[in-house]
Amino acid sequence: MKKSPLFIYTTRMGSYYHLTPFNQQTLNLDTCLLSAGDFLHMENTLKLLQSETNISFRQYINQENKILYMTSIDSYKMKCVEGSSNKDGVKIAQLEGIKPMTNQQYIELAKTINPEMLVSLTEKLEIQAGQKSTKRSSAKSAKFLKESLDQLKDTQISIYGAIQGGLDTVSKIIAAEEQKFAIDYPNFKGFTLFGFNQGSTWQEKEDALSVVQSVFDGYNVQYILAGYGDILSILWGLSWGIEGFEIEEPFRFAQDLKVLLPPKFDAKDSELEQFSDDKINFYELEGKKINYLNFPINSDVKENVPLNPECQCFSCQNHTKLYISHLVECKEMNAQVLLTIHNTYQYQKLQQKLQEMQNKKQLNQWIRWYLQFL
Amino acid sequence: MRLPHGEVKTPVYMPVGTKGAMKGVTYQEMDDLGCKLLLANTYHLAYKPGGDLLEKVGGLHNFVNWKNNILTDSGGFQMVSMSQLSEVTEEGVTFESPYDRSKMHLRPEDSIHTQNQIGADIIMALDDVVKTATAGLRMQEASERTTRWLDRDIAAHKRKHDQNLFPIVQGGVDSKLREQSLNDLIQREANGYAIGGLAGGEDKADFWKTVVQCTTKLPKNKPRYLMGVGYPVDIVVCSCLGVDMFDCVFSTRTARFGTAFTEHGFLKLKNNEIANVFEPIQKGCQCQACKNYTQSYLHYLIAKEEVACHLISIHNLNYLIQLMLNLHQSIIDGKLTGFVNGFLKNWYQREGKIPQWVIEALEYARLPIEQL
Repeated sequence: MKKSPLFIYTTRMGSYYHLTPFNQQTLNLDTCLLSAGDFLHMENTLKLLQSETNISFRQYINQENKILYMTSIDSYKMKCVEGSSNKDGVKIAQLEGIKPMTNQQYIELAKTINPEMLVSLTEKLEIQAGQKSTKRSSAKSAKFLKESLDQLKDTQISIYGAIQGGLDTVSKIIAAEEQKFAIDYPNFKGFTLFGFNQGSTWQEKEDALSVVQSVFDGYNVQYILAGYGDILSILWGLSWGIEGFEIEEPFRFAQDLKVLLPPKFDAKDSELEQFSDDKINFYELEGKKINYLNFPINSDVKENVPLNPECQCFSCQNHTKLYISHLVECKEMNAQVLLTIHNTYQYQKLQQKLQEMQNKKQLNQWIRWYLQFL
Repeated sequence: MRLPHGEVKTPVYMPVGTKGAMKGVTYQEMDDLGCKLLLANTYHLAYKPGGDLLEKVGGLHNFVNWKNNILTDSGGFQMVSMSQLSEVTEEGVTFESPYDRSKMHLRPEDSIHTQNQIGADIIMALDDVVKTATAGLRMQEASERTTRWLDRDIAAHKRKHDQNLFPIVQGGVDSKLREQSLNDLIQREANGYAIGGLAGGEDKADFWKTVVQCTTKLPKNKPRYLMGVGYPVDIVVCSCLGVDMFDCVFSTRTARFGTAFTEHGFLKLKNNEIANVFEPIQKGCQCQACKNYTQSYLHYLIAKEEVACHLISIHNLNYLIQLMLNLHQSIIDGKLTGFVNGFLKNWYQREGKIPQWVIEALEYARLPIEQL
């Protein structure tokens, strides 16, 4: 993985939510989550692209020089992958509805896309899945992982297994153990962890992560957290050794007309010294929330100020709360454009700060300092 | 044209940002396209955010952060097309607001007052708007009343030093009523004139002849604004007939349905045959859509992510802005005939024939047109 933490921004077919290339300019987005379901109906087109043009897939989606991360499960689609009785595949949400897809198709698509990072195909279990279903799904995920590792060994693609099982520690251990064989493969890099949903408690998340990590204790394994990429999960996950995060939150917030207003990121060394350097405990996160603003707001002249006067993002430098609120009231989609830019910028600032704190070996101290303000 | 917020080359196409926004396209992107003058709508802005608030924040330019020029229309057309129209009297128009169904009354003085508050560089006189096909007494009444309202518009206008009030020539396609309206309006000296009451489905022969009637009579040294016209062929032809300014929502509205402008006509990107076309919408186009994406990708993206519509809107706006700039340059270079012939040859290549009204209109303008 290039740098930690790695923020992997979701896209629809390779395009970020509401962001034209012009509006991306100030954001320096360098990652791109690609959902397999977005491309399966384009099989013929992608074949022609390869065989009859000089246009690479990356050029086709205008994501050259970005880290491409391909996965089957995409948090912005509510139910994008379902289980299937077919042991060679799953059912995946595509443009025309839920359709079957084999692992072989998934691997062929990966060869076409040629991402830097590939999460092996997996089934998303039903919430109340019983032990038998869980074991069957785990076995399938392991099988898919092995096939990916074998068939893509001559490519530059780094393969990540998919650990399902919700937050049930037994299911998590089963999933982890089933995929432990992957450690011996040179193109295996780690696991994407699914099921760490927002609704569960931090203790449950801590327990689930701990059991997975215990299976791979002593091995050089990278972890990526699947999901929305909310800030608290990032802080917690990074403290616990997770290095990559799928990110949908800034876009989701913008779609819901919410502005992220996190506290300041800068702390003096003297302010950090009082805090422990140990991993963040679950109880330190309980009750914490990130501040945000809901639009529309009152149309008052005093709101003719930036969303955040200290923010250097394009939206805050060029527009005001009053104007954005007007856009929201008029149902103009430019509201989402401007909010996406602001929210994404906040994430980038957070990422920079976390990287800085990791380099200075003050990460957990900084997280504890930051949590004070939430 | 030299306007308070900068120079504008004519002929010019003015994109329409109805409620203080171009759908999906930021004002910075509009500036990047080279847009120097765009439209906003008094009818909508009067409701949200309101004239008083706009005045407090220093006008629409400040509110939306647009450094170039703005034109606001009076709201007359929207009243007719969007509202349940209650009554038009000499006093003004009573109508039902489409937002909250409250009864609203708009007099010429109110429209001008709100436009003064908005602070656009060009503002429009409130006119008595009727459908183009209206004939007889109602059309006459509307035409004559528009002139009387113009006097009230002028009297109410408090910012003559930095806002240019354009009267609107009416009369439908009735040449006598048009003549009367023209005579009346020219007597009231203005910095520019608008030609209203067209682009309402009238016969194309009537359309271009009415345009000619207006441009022939209107002062040569003042800009002429043909309202609501924005199809590429129409703006090329009417530029040759002496029109300087155009506006139309078609370019962005059709973009949101996946239709792009090209030199060969309209391209429906949703069509299945586009799926495997690995070329930009228009070769040589420097817009974001054409520089970064193929028709194939946009075809698939339209179904998934709204940014596709933003990109096609940007392309269509760029197409029209560049079309006008190229036409402007061809006039400067003395190559207008060649430019127009080249445009028509490409545009009608698929159809194989240039419509008769186009040939007749351009013949009148003394531009020899080669049939395909």
